[in-house]
Amino acid sequence: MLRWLLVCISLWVALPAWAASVSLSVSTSKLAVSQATRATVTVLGAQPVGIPVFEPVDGLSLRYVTQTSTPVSTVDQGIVYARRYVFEVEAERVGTYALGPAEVALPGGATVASPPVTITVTERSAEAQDAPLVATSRFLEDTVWEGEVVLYTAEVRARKPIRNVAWALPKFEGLQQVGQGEERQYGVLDPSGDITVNDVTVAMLASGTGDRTQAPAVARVSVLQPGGGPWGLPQTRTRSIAGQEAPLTVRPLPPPPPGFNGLVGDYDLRSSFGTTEGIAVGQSVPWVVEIVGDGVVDGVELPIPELPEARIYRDTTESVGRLVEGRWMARKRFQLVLVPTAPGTLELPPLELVTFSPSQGRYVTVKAQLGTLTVVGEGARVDVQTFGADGEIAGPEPVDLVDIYGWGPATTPPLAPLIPFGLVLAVLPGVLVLGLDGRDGVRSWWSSRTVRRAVAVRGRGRLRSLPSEPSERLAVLDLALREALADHVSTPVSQLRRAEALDAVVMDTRTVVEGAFTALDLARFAGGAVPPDVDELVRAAIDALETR
Amino acid sequence: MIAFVAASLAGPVWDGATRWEEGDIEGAVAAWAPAADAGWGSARIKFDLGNAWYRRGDLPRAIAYWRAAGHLAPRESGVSRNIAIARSELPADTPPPAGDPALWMRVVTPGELGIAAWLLTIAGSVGLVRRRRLREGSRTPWVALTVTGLLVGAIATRGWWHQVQSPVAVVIDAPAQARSAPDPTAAGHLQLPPGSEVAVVDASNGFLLVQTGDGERGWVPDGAVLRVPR
Repeated sequence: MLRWLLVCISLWVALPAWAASVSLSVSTSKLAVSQATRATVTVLGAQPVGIPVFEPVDGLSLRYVTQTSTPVSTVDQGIVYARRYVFEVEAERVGTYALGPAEVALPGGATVASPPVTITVTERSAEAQDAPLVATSRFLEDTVWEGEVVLYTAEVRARKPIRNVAWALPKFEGLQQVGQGEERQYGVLDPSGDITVNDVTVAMLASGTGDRTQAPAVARVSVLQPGGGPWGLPQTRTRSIAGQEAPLTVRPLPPPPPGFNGLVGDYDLRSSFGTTEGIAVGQSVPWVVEIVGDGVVDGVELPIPELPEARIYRDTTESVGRLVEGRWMARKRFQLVLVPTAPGTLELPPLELVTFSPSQGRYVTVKAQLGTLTVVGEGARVDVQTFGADGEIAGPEPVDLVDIYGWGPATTPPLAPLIPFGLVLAVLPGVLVLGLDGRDGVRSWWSSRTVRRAVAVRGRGRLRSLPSEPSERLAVLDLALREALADHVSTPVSQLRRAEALDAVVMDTRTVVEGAFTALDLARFAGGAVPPDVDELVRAAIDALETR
Repeated sequence: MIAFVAASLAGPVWDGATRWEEGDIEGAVAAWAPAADAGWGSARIKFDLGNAWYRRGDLPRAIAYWRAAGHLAPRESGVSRNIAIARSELPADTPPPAGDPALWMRVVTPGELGIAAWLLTIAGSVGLVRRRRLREGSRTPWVALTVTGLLVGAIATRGWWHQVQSPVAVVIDAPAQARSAPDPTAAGHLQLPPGSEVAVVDASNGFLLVQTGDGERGWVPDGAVLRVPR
């Protein structure tokens, strides 16, 4: 019946609270001869001894592949390890087979087993002629009760590589989605070419009665084209493919008995007290009650008994529900506080909830036995005689802590307080060098400024204070004239060639300048008398050069 | 190195681990606790002691020592994992933990960042000295390196100072009544269950002003909490 059966999570309903559970699931329950799929045995909350064992099935061959171990968050057990053992199941002959139960050995000699799953094997010829892309959509049950949670699944099977499957689901008139849907993609091994399967499952609450047949789901699929596209990039072609109409009939509930609170599903009621070592009058005893089942628990309220020798206070409530391994699971936790008001034996009546069980088709009363508490006078402490429901509760397998270090230093000198001192020491040489560089820079700037000032006295400036000694006076006049000429022709004084420079001067100025040079040369180098107006000649020549 | 290995194999970590393997949890605690509480306890010994407290069923002390180990070894994934496991077992009314470190302190410790800052700064300084001696190259990259080192060092110092000034404490043994003033007769307005991780804001008169992860404040007796050991 089911496309992919995920049956065995039901142990959390059947077994005592927090015990280990084993489930068996297969990726697909429909195979053709020679096709293979994966079967996974999941063990929650226990460390198995060895790998799970199956009874041989004539018509199927089973091969162990691998195992993994990961912590998972479960609805009813908190965080526990999920150990998954993966097998490859190959169909050998046509028929309907029960695979399992998978038996898992636990430490101490105990054995737990999963319910079997059904695998249907069809003729290979029919499967081989399948279209390259096939979609199906349906409810996992055709008939449900009003208020029951039913799963809707849509699936696309492709013989070509596919990616980016986008589903358009029907509007689900008369149904309400609860929780998040679940989508997965897996492969089926086939000698004619492996098959890729993408399916989506959503949980729906049947809120309306009558015929609730739904329109087909439509998948929009990107099919990878053989050969790829340019530059070696994958090339895809988008195709839309529709499944089938999904028939569903919702039956109305029979007239409810007194006390029915609307819960439709198979439920378990759990109770535990937080304090286990002595209860005194007036002491607050934490009390947790949980309703766990495969229906919707959001709106349910817990009937609190009234006790003459204790007061009960409501604290917080928390509800959660989601798809776990293909099955809808929900839990509502009530946190209460019980305060005994008198010493003695406190008889606690059982908690009772009237629910409708779809599997039995009738109303049932779910109970949790609370037992008795022994209460002593204020301040005394004695052991609790009984508590909780159904005898001793096995503690959950704790998630393994990361183990201790077996060796290593016992002490570690703290480094952080030394950071400022270390930084000061580290930066000191750099700061010192920067200081020295700065000092050098200041000096360099000062000396260059002084040189600039000295160099600025040139040409006409030299005439402002001429030496009195004749030869020095002539030398300064000559230097001043040469500087003026050099500036006039834009040539450094040291590279000045007088004849070439004079050729670059206009005739009038050149005559004046040549006259001044001649007078100076005669006086300095030819032993001639110093002309009395040599100062004026040089000044006039410099004026002429600077004017031009 | 030889001395380090010898000390590691003969020290309290080794002694406690030996007792732990023999199932003697009390003996392991006796071996680890003095060194862990001595002031310079290593991340390993604090981590191991956290495991021992957890096995003894004392979640608050386990969380305190694991958080201390996390301060010293923030990249150890086992620390955060174990803390998460312990927190998941606390009562539902436990306030959210306070004093989570800054993002960068979940990757490096202030000491490690300080060493990196010191190396950057010393590299910049040496570069400047060498450049001056050889009279070649630009001083800009070396100045930039030095300044970067100083900035990183400032961040590391600030992180360390924050750890010192705002320690974390865990409520131990029994629920702590948070009061409006550091006085046993002051009105209590907040009940902190064991395992509550709070930031210590102030201290006065034998009381600590603590703040929960959701911002609630109150004064609790000093003995009601265990400060996360450093």
